[in-house]
Amino acid sequence: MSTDRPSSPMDRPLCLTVESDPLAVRAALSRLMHGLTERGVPAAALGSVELVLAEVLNNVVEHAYVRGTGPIDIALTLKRRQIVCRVCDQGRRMPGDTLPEAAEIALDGPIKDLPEGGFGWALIHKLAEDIHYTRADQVNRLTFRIPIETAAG
Amino acid sequence: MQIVTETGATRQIVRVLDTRIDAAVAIRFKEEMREATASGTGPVILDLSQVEFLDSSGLGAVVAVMKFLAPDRKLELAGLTPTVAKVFRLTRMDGVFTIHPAAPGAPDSLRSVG
Repeated sequence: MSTDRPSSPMDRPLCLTVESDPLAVRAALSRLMHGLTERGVPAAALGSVELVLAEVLNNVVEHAYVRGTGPIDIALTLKRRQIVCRVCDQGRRMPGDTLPEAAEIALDGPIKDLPEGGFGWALIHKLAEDIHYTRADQVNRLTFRIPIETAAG
Repeated sequence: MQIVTETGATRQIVRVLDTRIDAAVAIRFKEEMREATASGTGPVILDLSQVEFLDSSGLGAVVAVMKFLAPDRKLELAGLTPTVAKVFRLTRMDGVFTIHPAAPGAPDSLRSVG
């Protein structure tokens, strides 16, 4: 690795193509977290980053590729104190071609009525910013930014 | 998915030895919990101190365990690591579960180093 240009390792985008399978997603997350660590992202900040990416990728596996499998292209770029993310797939389009809202989850009812799902988008909306979805040329493209937390929280 | 269980007179402690409860193992986790808690009485304390990562599928599985144990048995959580605690906090599930800082009587081999 060259050290001639001090900014180059940080600026180099982290790109990965992963098959739409839960175990492949798990392996991809491990490689991405390793790559971010190499680029100087502090370990304490990685939890939130991994969480957002896991939710986004699992959504693609479970919904976009519900009727089969296909590739998911991931590109992460470090910019100042945030990670700019782009995730593309060739699966089904999002319903209504729009981003799901973070639905308010009802937690005050009896235990038997507690939801067992629907937490994914709630977590994405809480931890990521500037979330945009576009569908063009049969490709779903989700972009978002994850702030790098400097303190535990 | 590796879990161990200690059944006491008044409660049962279930310790998850895996470091992740994610989409890849959520269903298996639920099945293993059902098996592990099939006999026994009293509250179940789920020791998550070895679990470094839990996603929304994992959270859904923990909620499912609480639901199938109810109403006879209560599910309580213990030893949440920072990222896991964050998932419970951000989804407000920390208000639904009783959460203990550490699991009671964790053997030395399971206690986190440092």
